[in-house]
Amino acid sequence: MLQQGGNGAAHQATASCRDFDVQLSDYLEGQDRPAVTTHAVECEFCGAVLADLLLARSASAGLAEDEPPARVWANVRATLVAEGLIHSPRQRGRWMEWLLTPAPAAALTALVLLSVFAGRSLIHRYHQTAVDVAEIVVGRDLMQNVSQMEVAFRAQSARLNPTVERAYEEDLASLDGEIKECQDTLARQPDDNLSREYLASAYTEKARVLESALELGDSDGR
Amino acid sequence: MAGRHPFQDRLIACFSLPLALLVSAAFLPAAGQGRVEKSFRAIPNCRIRISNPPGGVIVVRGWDKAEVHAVCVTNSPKVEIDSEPTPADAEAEKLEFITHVLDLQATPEEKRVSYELDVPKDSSLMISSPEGSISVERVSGDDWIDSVNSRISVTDGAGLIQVRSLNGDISLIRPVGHIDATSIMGNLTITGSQSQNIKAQTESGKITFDGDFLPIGDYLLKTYAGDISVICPSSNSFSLEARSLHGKLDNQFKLRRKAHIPYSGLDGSASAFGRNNRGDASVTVKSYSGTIHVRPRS
Repeated sequence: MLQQGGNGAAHQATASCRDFDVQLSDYLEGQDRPAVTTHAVECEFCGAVLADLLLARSASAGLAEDEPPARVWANVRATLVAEGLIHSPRQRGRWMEWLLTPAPAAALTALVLLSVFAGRSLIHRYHQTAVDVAEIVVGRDLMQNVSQMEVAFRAQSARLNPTVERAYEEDLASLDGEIKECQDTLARQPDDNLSREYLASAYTEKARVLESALELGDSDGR
Repeated sequence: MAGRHPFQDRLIACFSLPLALLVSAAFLPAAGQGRVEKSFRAIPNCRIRISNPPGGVIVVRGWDKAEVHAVCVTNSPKVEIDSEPTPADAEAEKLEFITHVLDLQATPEEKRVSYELDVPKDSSLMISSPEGSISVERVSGDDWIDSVNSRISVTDGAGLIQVRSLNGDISLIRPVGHIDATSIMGNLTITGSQSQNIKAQTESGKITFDGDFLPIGDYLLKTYAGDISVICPSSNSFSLEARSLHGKLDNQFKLRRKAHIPYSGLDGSASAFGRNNRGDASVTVKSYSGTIHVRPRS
């Protein structure tokens, strides 16, 4: 299948591209689909597609809900009252009394809790987007390697000379700060090439720092 | 000695012994210290490796002799040094100096070892020492230097110079060879450069370049948050691409614009690009949030 790239260049879809298409929606729904990120790194076209989708998702999550003008609500309400579907304001006291009985009160509480949960879910989705972009830019393998090396470093850092250990900790904190800053920028602007470059660079540096720390921990300099 | 006055003999007798004691005391190590001095015949482009995990002061100087002369000082008997030439029975092609810690309970200070080496000037070096300082002078072979906190200085290096100190400052003086210098929080200073290929990168440290951009050269200076300062003669011919995403840019060269524009500038970044003179050398200067200064040498 021939697809048209964003820059006008034709893209010849491969079997991996078709597989990417099939798995993409599952991936975007949060399911574990490593083939999607792997292919997005390898295929520029599909990588751009995924980046665009993540951008759209990120943008829609951040959209403010527009409140309709008051007159719209007034018209709707007047129509519903006229059709007998809701009652006039003087009957509201009875509604309030009913709401304060145990069952409706419990339902209202559940509704509030659900809203809070939904809000947290949106925040989680924002962070998830940042992580998704990082996976595309950095590659899942490198991220996993860094994560695993960090666990190993924590396990054996006490073996290092205290001043050297402190230096490594400072370096890692500095790189983590960079990673977070770049991820935050990319969650808002996934096409920011410099942030992509610095994010990839920060992960590579972090891998080198951890590698160096683990090597030194293995030597007899402790 | 014929004709010497008897008073002179007495004078010499009085002062010779204390003088001899003073001179020898100057070369004696302090209490607990050990001093090893060795010489090895070596080929002109000998490969030398120093692995010093506990850290210390390391000084390596190039000289014209086909010989390696090493003075190693240990801070306590809790460490020892292995020095091994290869081949063992001829001029050394490879020499390794490795510090071993014998007592793991020793304090960091007790584990320190210092090395002072004179080596054939065409030697290549591989030095690993996490702390202290490392100084290399007049060695024209390749240098590979790795550290965590050490201050590193390479003077008149002519080969490929790969230097990395995570938190220590790196200083490269009059480099001629290719440079790959990296740090996380340390500053990088390159002065009197005649190198035609430089890649220098830090995260929060500053980069200072003062030298010539050679016509066929390729230069990349990159930081994350550190400032970058570039100074070169206005007669240099180079093509500049400088950009700081969240920082400022101060470019004092009047560059001629290229036909195409590499960055749109719509992202709000500070950027400068164009040619100085014919635009021969490629100079890329990048920072994420640091300030970039580019100016001609006055």
